[in-house]
Amino acid sequence: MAELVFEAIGTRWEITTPAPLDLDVRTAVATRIEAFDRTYSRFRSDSLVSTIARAAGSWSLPPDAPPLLDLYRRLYLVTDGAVTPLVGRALTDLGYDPTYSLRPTGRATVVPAWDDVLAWDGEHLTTSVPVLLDVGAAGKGYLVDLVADVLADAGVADHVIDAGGDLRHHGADPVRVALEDPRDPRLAVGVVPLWDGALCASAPNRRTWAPGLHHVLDGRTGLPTDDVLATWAIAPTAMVADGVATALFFTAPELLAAEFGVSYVRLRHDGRAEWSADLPGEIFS
Amino acid sequence: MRRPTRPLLMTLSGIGILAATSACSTGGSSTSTGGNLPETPTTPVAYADGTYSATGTYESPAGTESVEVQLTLAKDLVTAVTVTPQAKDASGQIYQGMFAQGISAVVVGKDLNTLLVAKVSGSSLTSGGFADALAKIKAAAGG
Repeated sequence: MAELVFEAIGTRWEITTPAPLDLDVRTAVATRIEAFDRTYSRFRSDSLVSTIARAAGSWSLPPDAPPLLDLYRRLYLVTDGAVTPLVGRALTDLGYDPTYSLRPTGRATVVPAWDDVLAWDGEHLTTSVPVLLDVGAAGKGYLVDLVADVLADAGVADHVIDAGGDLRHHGADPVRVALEDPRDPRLAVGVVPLWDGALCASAPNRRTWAPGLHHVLDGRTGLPTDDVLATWAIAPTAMVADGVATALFFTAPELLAAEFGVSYVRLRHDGRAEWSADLPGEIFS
Repeated sequence: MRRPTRPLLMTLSGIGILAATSACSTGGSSTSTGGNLPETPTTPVAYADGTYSATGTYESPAGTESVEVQLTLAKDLVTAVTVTPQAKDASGQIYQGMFAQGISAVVVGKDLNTLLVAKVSGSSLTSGGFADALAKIKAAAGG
């Protein structure tokens, strides 16, 4: 087994393959990640998202945008607006900004309603005011899928992609994955096998910069959530798993399982976990 | 995506939890299209691929109730699980409906070093930039 380890989009990546990746495949992976970052990052001033944030207008989005925006729309509707790409400004005002100032401005930031400021026709995004988009709920998972496509196109059929704990697997044998206990990273709350699919987690424990201040915002209040400690979702694609993992902070898991066909685990502050009856593996209870 | 892929032993213990939580398990019967489900497997066994169904019964205040569980096995891994509530009385239907929807319990973390896993899934590891900023904020707050 060979492992390619690097840092990108603010986290650590590990790509495990039976043999080391050729230089041209590694280059293709890096190029794909760079193209994604240049479009969607709100942490760099030369990105399309930063351009969209400067003035209202209409933009032709790249060909990879429709699946992501379509998923966001579904998440927005099923969570009654809690999951939304319009939390960028609220995150910045809480201190989660391009310089990582981690200092709240004290402004009470209202997250705009989707239909008040965004129109999406499947190709063009039209904004009625300057909006700071944030695709943090599903973007990383989507990029994992896009990198998996790069590997598959290069003939690397067997692979595990791990982007800071968001995983996608393809291969002959399942990989055993521990679900990290957010209260103590030396512990796991369960183990699941992952086989030809994706497993994504969401938890604020590594991105909390002051009591009650972290990066999982409720679009309805513009404030961080406080009821759920961690979530996991298993889906065919990492984009869906990632997005649903975020939605699990806000919405009844049975509803999300029905809408997206995922298996899930949700850990609450009181130490109780809820998981779907079809979850593969074991939760330690 | 192939799912779920839990080893058979784990699934049987899961059914045990299900029956024990709904009421005292008093027995069960099983039928299958691909083989017989052993009642208490103690050593690893190779199971024939196929779909297995088992009906567990238990005594409730309203009488004997049952729950049907169907498993599909491929290469000794469970690839599908269906729990079909069969309760006749209202409270039994509510409880069994909850199992069909999901399971809830207090979790107790286990030491990662004992679990023989290849990967860990949790909150995203942070890059140098965020970690440095957080360290500065904490230092400033402390002094």
